[in-house]
Formats: sequence, C-alpha cells, structure tokens
Amino acid sequence: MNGIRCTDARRRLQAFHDHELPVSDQIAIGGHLEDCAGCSAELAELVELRTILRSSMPGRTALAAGDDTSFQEAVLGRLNAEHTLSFGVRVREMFEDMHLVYAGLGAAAAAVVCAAIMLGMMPFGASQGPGSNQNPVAVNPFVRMPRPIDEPFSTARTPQGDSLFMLAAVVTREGRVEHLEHLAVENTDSWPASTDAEQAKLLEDLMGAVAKARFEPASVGAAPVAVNMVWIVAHTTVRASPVGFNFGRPTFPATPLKRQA
Amino acid sequence: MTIAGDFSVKQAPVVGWSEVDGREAALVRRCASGEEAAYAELVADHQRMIVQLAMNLLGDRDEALDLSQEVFLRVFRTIHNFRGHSSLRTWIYRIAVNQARNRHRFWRRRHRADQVSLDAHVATHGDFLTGHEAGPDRVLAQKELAARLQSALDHLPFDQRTAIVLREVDGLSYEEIAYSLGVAVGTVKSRLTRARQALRLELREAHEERSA
Repeated sequence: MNGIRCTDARRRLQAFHDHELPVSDQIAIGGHLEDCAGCSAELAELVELRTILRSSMPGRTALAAGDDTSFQEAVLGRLNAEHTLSFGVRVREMFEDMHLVYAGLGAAAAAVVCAAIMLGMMPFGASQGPGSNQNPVAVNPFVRMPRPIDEPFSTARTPQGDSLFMLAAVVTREGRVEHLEHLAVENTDSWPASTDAEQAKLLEDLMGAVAKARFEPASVGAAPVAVNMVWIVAHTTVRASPVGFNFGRPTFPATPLKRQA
Repeated sequence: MTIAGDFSVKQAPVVGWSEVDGREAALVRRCASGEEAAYAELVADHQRMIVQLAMNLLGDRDEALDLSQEVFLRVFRTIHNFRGHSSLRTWIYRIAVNQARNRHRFWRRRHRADQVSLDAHVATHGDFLTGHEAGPDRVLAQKELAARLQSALDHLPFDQRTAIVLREVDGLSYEEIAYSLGVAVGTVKSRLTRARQALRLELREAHEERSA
C-alpha cells in the first residue's frame, strides 16, 4: 500500500476514472488500486458501466455511412428554404413586379392627399361652427348676454329733439363690435324728429361710440360665443303737464333679434 | 510515496481565439460570411457527433435527425456570435444540449412515453454487442444488462442523463460538460456522481440476479 486510505481513493475514483486528476494524484491513486482489491472492484464497475454505455447507446447507429450526404443536403436545403423565405428576400421579390409597386405607390399617394385635404379643412370646420365670429348665434335664454365694459354710449352727443336709431352689430368672441349697421326705423310719425342733418351727425357720433365699445363676450356655459345684437337707441323729450306724466317710450334694452343679411 | 487524503481535480485551461484551431477559426469566419461550402464543411465535420448525441438524449431516430438539423440551423444563425471562448465542438454541443432540453420539456408536457422495450430497441437500432466475447448465453445476458441500464438511464433526470452521456459516450471533459450545460464544474461532478450511483446500483442488482 502507498499510504492512501481507501476512503480517500474512492472519493477520487470517478475523477481518476475520468482522467481529471492532476498527474501526481493520478499516479498515486493508480498505485493504490494496484494493491487494493476493493477499490479495484469499484473501478471495474465504473469501467464496465462505460463499456456497456458506449456499446449500447442508440446513438452509435443513428447515422449510417450512406446517410452523411443526405443529412448534409437536408440541412443545407432547410437553410436555403429559410433564406428564401426571409424578410429581405420577400421584400426584393415584391419589387420584381413593378406593377404592384406602382399600384401601391398610387394608393399611398392618394391616401396622403386625402389626409392632407382633411387636415386642411379641419380649421374651417372648427371656426365656422355656431357661435364663431363667422357664424354668430342669436341671443336666446341659454346664452349669457354680452355686458359692456365701461359705458360705451356715454360719449355720444345728446340730440336736441326726439330721435330714434336702430343699430345692428355682431359682438365677437373677443368682445369687439363688428359689422355695425344702422337699420331703418319704420313708423316714426309719433316721434317728432330733429332735422336730418342733426340726425345724421348724431348717427355718426353714435356709431363711432358704439364701434369703439368693448364687451365682456356672450357665453354658453363657459365658452364665449359671437352673437348678433340689435340696439334701439331713443332720445325722447319729456315735458311736464298738469294733467299727468307721460313717460314716453322707454329706452329698450338690447333686444335679441335675428340679424338681417 | 505518501500522499495526504485531499486531492484536487485538475483545472482545465481557458480556451480563447488563440487556442482555437486555425482551420476551425477560418471555417467559422467563412460560415459567418455566408459561404455555402463552409456550411457543408461544418456539417460534415460535426454531424455524426450531433446526431449521436441527439439520439442518445432523445432515443428516437426521427426526432434526433430533426433536432440535429435544428441544431445546425441554429449554429448558422448564431455563428457570428461565436467568440472562441470554447472550442467550436463544445459550442455546438451546448446548442445541441439546449435544443434537446427544450424538446425533452415539450415531450414531458405531453406525457410522451419515454420507455422502449428491449425488442423494439433492438429492432430499431440493431444488435449492440459484437459476438467476439462468448456464446449466445453471454450475449443475451449482456443485452439484458444493457437494456436495464438503458432503462435506468432513461429514468434519470435530463441534466444527469446529459452529463453522463457527454462524459461516458462523447468523452467530454468536466470543463467542456460544464460549458455545454451552462453550469459550474462542481455541479457537473455532483450530477455525474448521482447518475453513476443510480446506474451502478442497477448494475449490481443485475449481477446479483444473474449469480442467484
């Protein structure tokens, strides 16, 4: 015996059998095995196991001598098939027939033009909706009335006699007065008016004052809307009489009327 | 000579590009560049080893051939990733083991019967012992023993079976088996030990039955 105990030798027997020990250990274990029948029997089992496995495993007959070439061809065939079906090859094939390419390009161009037209029309659609400056709405119970900021008419010159003016305009979303017009007034017989020149001057001053007026815009909910407005501005001289008071016609508040074209 | 009881297992050297065979490195480069002749050469060099391993791990010839083709396709798809950290052979073994493990899981999920009778085994794979040793009795006994071991091997966990096949049949070193399985060398040794214990137990029982 060379001094190695059987337990140590058996612990290393598999590594010895697999030639995985350093050379010095390999020699030492080999020497022990020459003298130890028990350990040699253990090794013999390992050797027998390897022999049987190598001779009986099914893999040793898996590929016969003539199968080499066919296996190679099968692998290369699958490789070529895979390559043929690969994305790049399919893209190249798509461009082989230019008719399809032209049709595809035409369809794509048409789709782009349609999209551009739609996108171009969207701002018009949005700005010309009800309540926009281009499409003002009539005042109704659901619309909060525009309210003047400061006193727009206070600067107007006061006429000497009775006078009656009817003005139409649009109060925009921004609170400006646009499209200001003087509407004709009918049935003024009962209203003794001042001279024509005086009325013309008054009208000019009044329209100038109204055009400069600024409003808190009308709104529906929280959204500002443009509205059509008609103002009737009347100046009436009231004289006292012992019989009683005649209050005359009151100044009408801004009355929602449909704007006339 | 007196030697203490503690031994160390030798360390395998680290393999790098410089240690990969020059012809092999050139073959890898040619395959990476898409040369079909190089593909054919690589298949010719390694097909036997891969088909044999696939057959040993799966036990079915058609499955083994199909798996082997998959292995080579995978090799060609990923050969540009090969950095020479192992030999080409070991790298291909690793791919084969991974593919076989995936297929084994696929089978297990479908409860595929993994036992083959001795008659079916012999009918499929032929007689596995040459008759130079002895007469018909001994040949029959060897067949029975081999069938028992094969059955015991089939019942081992896949990782243990792979380790013992790579070591005993393919002759890979512990380091190469560790790389192929993607585990540490210590894990390989413990798997080999457990697998051998199970097979040796079967071997002893067979011998005892014969002698009884």
